[in-house]
Amino acid sequence: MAIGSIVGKGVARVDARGKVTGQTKYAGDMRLPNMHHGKLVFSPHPRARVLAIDCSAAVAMAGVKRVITARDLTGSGRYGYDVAHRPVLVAEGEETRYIGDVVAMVVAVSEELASRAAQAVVVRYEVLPPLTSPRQAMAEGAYLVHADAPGNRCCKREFSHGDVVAGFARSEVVVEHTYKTPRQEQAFLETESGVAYQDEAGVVHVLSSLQDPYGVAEDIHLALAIPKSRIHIKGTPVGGGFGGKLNTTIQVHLAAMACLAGVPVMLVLDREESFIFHAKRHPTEIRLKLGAKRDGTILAMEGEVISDAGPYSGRSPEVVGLTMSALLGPYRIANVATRAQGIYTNNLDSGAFRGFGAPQAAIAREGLLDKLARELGLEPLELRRRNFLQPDSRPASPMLGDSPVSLEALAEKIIARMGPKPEPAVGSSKRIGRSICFDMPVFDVGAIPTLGKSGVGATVEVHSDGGVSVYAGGTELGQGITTVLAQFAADQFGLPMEAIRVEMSDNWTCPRAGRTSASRLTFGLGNALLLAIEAVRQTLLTRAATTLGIAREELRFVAGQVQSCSAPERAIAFAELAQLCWDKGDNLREEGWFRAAEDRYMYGHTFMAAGADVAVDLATGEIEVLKLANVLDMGKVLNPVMAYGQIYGGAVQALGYALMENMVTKDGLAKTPSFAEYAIPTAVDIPFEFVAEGIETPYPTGPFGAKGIGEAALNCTTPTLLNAIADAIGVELDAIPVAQEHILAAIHQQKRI
Amino acid sequence: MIPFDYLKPATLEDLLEGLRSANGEGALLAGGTDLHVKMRLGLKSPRLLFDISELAAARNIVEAEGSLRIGACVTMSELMASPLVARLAPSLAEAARSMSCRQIRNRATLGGNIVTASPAADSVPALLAADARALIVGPGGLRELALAELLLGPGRTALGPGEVLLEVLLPLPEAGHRSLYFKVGRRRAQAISVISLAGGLSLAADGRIGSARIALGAVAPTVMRARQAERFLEGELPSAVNLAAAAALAGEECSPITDVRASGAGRRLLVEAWTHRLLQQLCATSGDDAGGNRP
Ligand SMILES: Cc1cc2nc3c(=O)[nH]c(=O)nc-3n(C[C@H](O)[C@H](O)[C@H](O)COP(=O)(O)OP(=O)(O)OC[C@H]3O[C@@H](n4cnc5c(N)ncnc54)[C@H](O)[C@@H]3O)c2cc1C
Repeated sequence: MAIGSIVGKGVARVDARGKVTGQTKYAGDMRLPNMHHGKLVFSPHPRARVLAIDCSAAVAMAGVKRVITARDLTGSGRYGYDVAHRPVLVAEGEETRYIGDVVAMVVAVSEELASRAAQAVVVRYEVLPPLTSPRQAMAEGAYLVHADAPGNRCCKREFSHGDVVAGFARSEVVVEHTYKTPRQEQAFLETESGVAYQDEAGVVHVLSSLQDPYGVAEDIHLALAIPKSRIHIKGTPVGGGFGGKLNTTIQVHLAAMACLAGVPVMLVLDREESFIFHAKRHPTEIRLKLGAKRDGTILAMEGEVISDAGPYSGRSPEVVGLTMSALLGPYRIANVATRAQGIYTNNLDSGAFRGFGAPQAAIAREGLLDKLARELGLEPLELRRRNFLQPDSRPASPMLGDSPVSLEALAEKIIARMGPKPEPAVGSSKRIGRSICFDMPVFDVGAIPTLGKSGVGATVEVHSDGGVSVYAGGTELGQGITTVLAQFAADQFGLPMEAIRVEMSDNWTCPRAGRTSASRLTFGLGNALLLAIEAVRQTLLTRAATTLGIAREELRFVAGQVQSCSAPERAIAFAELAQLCWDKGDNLREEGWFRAAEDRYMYGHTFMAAGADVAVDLATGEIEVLKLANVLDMGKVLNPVMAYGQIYGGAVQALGYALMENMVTKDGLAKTPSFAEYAIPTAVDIPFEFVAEGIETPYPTGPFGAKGIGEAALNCTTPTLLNAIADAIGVELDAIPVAQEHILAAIHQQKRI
Repeated sequence: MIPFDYLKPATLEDLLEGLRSANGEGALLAGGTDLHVKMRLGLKSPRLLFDISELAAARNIVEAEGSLRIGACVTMSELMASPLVARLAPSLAEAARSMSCRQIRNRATLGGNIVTASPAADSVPALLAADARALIVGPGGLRELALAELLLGPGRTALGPGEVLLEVLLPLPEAGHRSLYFKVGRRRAQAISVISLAGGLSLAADGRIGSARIALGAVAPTVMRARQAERFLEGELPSAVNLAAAAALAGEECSPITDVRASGAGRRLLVEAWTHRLLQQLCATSGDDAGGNRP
């Protein structure tokens, strides 16, 4: 496939103008005739039995259209990915499982009135003691968050390879440590929001900020017993998702309110509601053990992951599974025994977040590798290089893949980009530490072991005026997929970007494309679109060949024309050709359907290296990130501006994870309920020198050789920062976030020993 | 949020009269950056708001009668831009600069910061370290109070019903006096203080420490003075040992709590470390850097 003039160029995002000028309409900007406003009544208690719900005062308020409790729902009243056990509304007699559980909903003429009516709903609870840690929930005799989950176990994954006992027996050096990671909030700007209405044909239309219109339709069908043919989900422009909108958020509630109240309803969560409602990055405790020979050859790994799954299953089995798989990293380890469990608690919910469980694993693995290097007296970088996966070796991992291994090239590149390590000023109490870490972030290529195969469809239509529409059911989350697809179409048809319009995230107008996660769209949707485009191109070529009297093989799409390769002046304008096809009754609308081949691989891998120089003031604990570099093997950089944007963005989230972010709960209650308490990096926290680079080892099955890169930069960037800090202060660190007080405490601790 | 009425009295007299007739149901609105947050959370629900953000009587910065007098309705941005403040109370300018972001600093007032009475209020350590006094006007006329006596506890002040903080008075610093302000936050901007501290020091002709003033924020129910550390230093030589010992005393005499921003024990370590840094910089003979350091 020849690469034309647009693929690989940093062309402007197709959605840039609308967003920059404020013309883009987010869900919360929508206004429908007779639109009412919804408000959810949340349980203030992480665990309590709902004794009675008294809606009379709320119902009596003028302007209140409807007050809804579990009793009013038709259908199962339950939804949820993986296990459909989440109640839309907790019924009288049932127990709440966390403070994001909803007990009632109000529909009123204004937002303010809905709010006041929600406050007027009186719920009597029998408050019960919550489970607030996985350890507590795993203890003998602990109450069960779900009666059908003994030991409160949400999920368990195990992997073994080789003979781990023999591996450790042969090891000359063994290191072991336990690492703890906190709950991280996606902190998207746009809270959960949407509007819904039911039309005269009984169709429920939900226009909402989401990551998976098909999953949402499934949940609405499950919970409310609405036939699938009567559910229309339209994704609105998303003001950030990062996994937090991957599960159905408020859409079932919206649909129920619209149907039961019989009016269009808007629901926009406020920040505090949003923070308690959606699933976040799993807090984990990871015990990891490595055994190696004196020369640094790693012989064995043993790992045990315990993740706080929160109250509902959702993405936990997949995420926790990936934490376990990612423990191995991009290294050859012959003998492995790893295990991971997700445990139900009454804390905030856990689920998908950019990196999908792998960042936690990287913290433990890369931290322990540094410890091993110290024990061996080896340079940390040298230890890693000695154990790199080799180009011909397959990872001894449940994440088998077929991406060409490019770790040595990445190592060379990151070493070059880091340059000489800076020295602190003479007499300064600052010390500078450096770390370089590696990872092999995954992206979904269509065949995930636990999920089965996922087919992806995309449609392209050439209009009679030569304009092009693309219908692709993935969701634009800001990652740039709309622009990438437009680049593909422009490239293949030889048209300017302006000629392409891309319609996305709509379960009615777009072929099924599945969820927007696992960095999967460029690969899956891109491949599907290329198939669709190729079909239309063939029709156009046939018509052009007949008209021009030139063999099809002799023709090419370029500069708004179909022209002869050898005699470019013999050509027909693209628009003219489209009109001709229209007149002759040719079909110029095709659907492409992409599925991974049956017996191939499971994941693609975006190999990466991260490097950091961090200055730490030993006197005050002050941390200054002097330099942070990420280098990814992207296969093919389709649009450098957007690709590097993804890397910078992911690295900033990784930096927040390392240095400040922690969604704290106490007794199941949120202690960081808003952005006043939950700190994420601001522009001035960006490292002084901030580097994003790519290398390109073409991925054979990727569109134009490209890989998925959306999540990658988060993976080993956090441990790189952590290890650099540890290097500077000469003390091991095993928990994040690391702030000044922790540095001081670590130094004090060490002085005492 | 409960509905409320809004008034903008043109003069101090109108304001006092308005407050009198509101019978305790009114609230003062300066920049609104604390009040609005509390109203939205339902923590305060005044029936009547008196906007004082442009009240002329509380908008000046002047040097008069041996004091730097700063109107309560002066904003943080204005403090940062004032040459008088830069010259006479550089640590206060630095405290203002350390606060939040430009948008908030353009609205947030000195008076609002004080009367909110947060232990983490960023301007207060700089004011306490300068022995600031509060000029208050109310039904009973004018009265003056040491700032330390105005602040009673988290969210509590000695202001009576209908009383308005009009001005803050900072005694002019002695010649050779130096002051500094430091803030530790979880990030470099837009951060509520984990700890904050301000200090002033003057060295006598014999090289000994004449007076030392150290104020600590976010480590006690109100911003506090580290009196033990101050007393320890007075009359002593600014030796490395003495500075370290004084810093250790400051770490001991505060009473920090554990919250989501830091642990109590961690705050003590930070107080000691940063008090030490503060004293070192105040005593440094060269590199006359009065500007603070923003961790
Ligand atoms: C996003 C954000 C970030 C913030 N960051 C910081 C920070 O970094 N550091 C910090 O210290 N604070 C911070 N704050 C808190 C706040 O901005 C400051 O305390 C500010 O100085 C308050 O001043 P104001 O004029 O806005 O007060 P207002 O909200 O108008 O008033 C606060 C209270 O004081 C009373 N009051 C105001 N003026 C007077 C007066 N003259 N006499 C008597 N009573 C009066 C009011 O009635 C009210 O009860 C932040 C706030 C927000 C919203």
